[in-house]
Amino acid sequence: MKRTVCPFPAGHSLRAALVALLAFAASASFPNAAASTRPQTGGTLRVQISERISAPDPRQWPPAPAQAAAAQRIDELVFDRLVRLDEHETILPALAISWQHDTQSKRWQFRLRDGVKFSDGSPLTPPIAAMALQQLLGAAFDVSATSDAVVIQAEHPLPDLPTELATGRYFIFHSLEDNSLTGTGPFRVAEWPSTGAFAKATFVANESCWAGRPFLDKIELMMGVDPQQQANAISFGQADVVELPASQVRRAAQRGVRTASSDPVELFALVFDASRPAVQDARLRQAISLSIDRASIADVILQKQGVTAGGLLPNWISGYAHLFPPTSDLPRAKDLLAASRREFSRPMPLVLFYDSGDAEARPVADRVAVNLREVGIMVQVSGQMADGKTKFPAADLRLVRHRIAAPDPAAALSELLNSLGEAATDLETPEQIYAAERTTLDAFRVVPLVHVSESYGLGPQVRDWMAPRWGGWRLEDAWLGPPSAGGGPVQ
Amino acid sequence: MSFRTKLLGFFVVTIVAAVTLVAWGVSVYTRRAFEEFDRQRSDALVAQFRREYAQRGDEIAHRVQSIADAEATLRMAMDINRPQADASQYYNDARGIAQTEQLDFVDIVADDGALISSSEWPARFGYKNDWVGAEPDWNSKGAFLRRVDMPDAVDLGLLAVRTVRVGEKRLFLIGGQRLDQHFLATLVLPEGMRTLLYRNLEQGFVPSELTDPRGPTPQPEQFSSMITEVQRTRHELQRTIDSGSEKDRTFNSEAFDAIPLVGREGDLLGVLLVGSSRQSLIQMLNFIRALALLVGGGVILLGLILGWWISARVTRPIEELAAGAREVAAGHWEARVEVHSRDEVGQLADAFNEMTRQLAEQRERLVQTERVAAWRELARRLAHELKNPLFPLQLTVENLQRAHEQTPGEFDEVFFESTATLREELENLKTIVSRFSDFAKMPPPEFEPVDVNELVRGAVKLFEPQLAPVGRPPITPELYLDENLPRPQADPILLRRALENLILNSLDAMPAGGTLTVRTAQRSGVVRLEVTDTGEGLTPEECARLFTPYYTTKRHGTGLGLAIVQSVISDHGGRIDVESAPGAGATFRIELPMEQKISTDGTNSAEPRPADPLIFTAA
Repeated sequence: MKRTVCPFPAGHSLRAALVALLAFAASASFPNAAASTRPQTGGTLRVQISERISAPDPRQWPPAPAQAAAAQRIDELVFDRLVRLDEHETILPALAISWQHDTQSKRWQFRLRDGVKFSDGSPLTPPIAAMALQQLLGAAFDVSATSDAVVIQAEHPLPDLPTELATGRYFIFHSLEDNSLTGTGPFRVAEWPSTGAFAKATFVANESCWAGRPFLDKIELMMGVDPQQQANAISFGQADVVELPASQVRRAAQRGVRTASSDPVELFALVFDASRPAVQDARLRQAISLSIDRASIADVILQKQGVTAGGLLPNWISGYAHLFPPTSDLPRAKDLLAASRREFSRPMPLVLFYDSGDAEARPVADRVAVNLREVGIMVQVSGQMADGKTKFPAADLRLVRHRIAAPDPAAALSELLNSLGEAATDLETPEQIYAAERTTLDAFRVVPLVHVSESYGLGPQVRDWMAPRWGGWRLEDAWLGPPSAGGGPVQ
Repeated sequence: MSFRTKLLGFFVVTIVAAVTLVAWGVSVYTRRAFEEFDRQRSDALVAQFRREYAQRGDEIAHRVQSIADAEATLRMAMDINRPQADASQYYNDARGIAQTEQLDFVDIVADDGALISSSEWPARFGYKNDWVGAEPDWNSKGAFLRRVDMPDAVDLGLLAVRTVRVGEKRLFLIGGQRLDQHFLATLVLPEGMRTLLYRNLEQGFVPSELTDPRGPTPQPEQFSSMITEVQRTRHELQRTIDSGSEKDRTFNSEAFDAIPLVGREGDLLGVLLVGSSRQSLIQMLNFIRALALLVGGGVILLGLILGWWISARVTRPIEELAAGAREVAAGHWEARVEVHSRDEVGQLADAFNEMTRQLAEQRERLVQTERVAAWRELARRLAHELKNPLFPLQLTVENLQRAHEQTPGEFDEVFFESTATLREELENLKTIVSRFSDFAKMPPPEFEPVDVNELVRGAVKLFEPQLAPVGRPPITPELYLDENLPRPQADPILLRRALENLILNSLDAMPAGGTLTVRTAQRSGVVRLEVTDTGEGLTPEECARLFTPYYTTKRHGTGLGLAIVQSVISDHGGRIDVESAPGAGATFRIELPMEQKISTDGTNSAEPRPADPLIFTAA
């Protein structure tokens, strides 16, 4: 049995150590501002997001990527996972303080932290944790409890199980008698909007959090707020944290708004419907790939918040993205189009669908259409809601925006390929990951366009915004201080 | 048709024609007047639209100018014209400017023609707009019409271009509004006027390109010829378009002015149809027409009443005159008409009364004269008839006296011879008297169904000895009898007597032999009987007097035979005529009615034909 030991004895001391380290760094860099950078407890953080979630419940994550991402952020306020990832994608203990597996990695045992209580005061026990994970992992896994640990067993090897449990929806929760869920996270739900009511949720600090009480007393979360309203709210001081579309980040910074962006974690890509006769010729698909001016999309439409993408995974995850350079070659594209002997005039255009719920998808799709028109391919751009429940209707190609949830290349590529309808097998070694991506790209069934960062606008009082590089929040570390002057990216 | 009816008809025709002519004239004059008024109104509306259109262009130019004058625009121009400038940050500016200035199109174009930002098609950034750099001085130009490429279509835009100059470099600002149904909806137009826009973006007439402020125009095909004509000539055109159902076609009539909309290069980009509803005009014309019909109908009705009254007033004395004339014609010579006035009609009535008075006097004198003449004729005939037997009587008596005086021995012989002669002559006198007595004592007919054919056969058989006399040429009888002849009501004895007289008359007319032809036939409800001889024939004068009593052309005739025939036929309600010519024989034709109207007193009431009791035809 291989054994992994938690590098820190307790979560509370972990957060305290991190905060102390940050405080020290800040005081070293800005000695005159040392008093203002000392974390302060209290205050209400006002957060606005575009999506609207029905309930903080890991069992009911919406299938749409954007909504799933929002659900993950909200669930991370209330619930904890067994393990977590740090900035360097190192697996760190959370509710589990150590874990071990058999030689075939089919059986994993996670020893739970002692003394952890849910926000309602009930203790965290292995049976409760096992029951929660069993619901989330499904019947393919056998989750059981020992006296102090949770055992996860499967028929196939699970070499990356800790990584998977550190991301996604694998939270530990406890079902109460009223069917509500309680968690061990830094906050608990104080108020949740009923269906159809004003979408304002309130979270209060979990005083008994095993990792220590968060600095914030309360979080007011406004859901379903239009991106433009969010931009106005952050500009006029009506919110402390808002989502910023990539195309708005630059303008927001120019208006004095503090911004924070993750590494590129989203992929804009064109996905061809192989069943459509119009796009079955690989030369045509390659011609389309060569026709697209990705730099204009990244620099102009996304206002330099994106990077051109030749590969599926961003370079910070895969490390080999430079092997897939984005290429634009109009003459060759025209030659390939001529070779394919396909014509797409105005009466019979290619049909390109995009997610009409994504404000940035339309201009990207329009730009693609403009680029393709240059080589003689007329494209009809149509918006369609991609809520995950209803699939895109019949279209020759569709513009998808995929959020890479995990920094692990294998998991990220696997999830990405699965979402794009491509086969994903044997992604254990870097060579296998590269080969799988190469195979997918060489078929031109998926044409990457740009990778985009996740960005937030921060109010002047928000301190210690230490979101992961793959996006999301970490509000348990944030606190509210006196207003700070100056906008631009948060360092 | 009576004179009153004719006169009333004349009045009606005159009044209707006059009213129709006046109504038509009023209608034509009114319609022309209103059409001229409508034309002037339509021209005024078109002029107003032109002003509105030009004002809209000025507004657009003003808005674009205000964009160019903005400090932010100047900063943008300075920033973009820096070396290695980053224009991407202005990618979304056009959309905001368009919203602020309420423009449908805003393009920001760099000096090299590269599109920096576009409100209508943001994705086209970086692409060149070469046309904008060709004009050296945009700031002095007004708005113009131009095709605007859109992601999925082509639009028409009323555009204006202004420039911001930084050093040698220019920043072009293109702004405009879409020329579509919404543009039409914003135009301030008078009531009853509407505008349609045809976007001439493709060859030929495309119905879907014709819109009105509410969207696609219903029944666009009705404008097809008009738009095609403008496409061909590129000149303004005026036409009236009728729409709606056939029933109320005129009610939905509109006068349209087609105004070609051309671009800067003179290309026809659209056709603006400015329609002025003729509904009020039609309603007014309909009202006038209805009023004219009402007034005309009233006038005609009044004219009918007055015409009837006038015609009755005018024709009443004439009708009285006609009635008086009919009474005179019927033999009532004492007929008089009442004189109501002293005008021409009154004078005519006076003249009529005077005429009837004189006619009565003259008839009385004529009757007296004819009576005298008849008596004279009768006396002459009696004298003539009686003189012939009297002369032998006188000679016989004188011879008897002379024999008694001169030859008494032979007296007895002479006496017996003379008395025999006297007895013979007295018998002749008795026969003459008997004939006159028979004519005077013609009995009334006793009607019964009579077989005319059988009557003819019997009469002809009676005269068989005379048809083949010894020593004289024979006469050939020919009978052409209709065996289907119905039996008319007649007196067989009188009719047989009349027929025998006719046959005897014909035999007397053929002393040198010939053919006696008798025909019977049915004609129009009467039985026709013809007796034809091949004798010497009659002159017209003889025909005219043939039925006059005591008139004869024969040496030993009494002149009563044909008079008796005429009397019998007249008593039967029939008619007889003769057709003859000298040397061509003669045909006597009798027509007898089938039925006789027997009055309660037993006399025949069958109407004789007083106007034409005898018709004599001389060939």
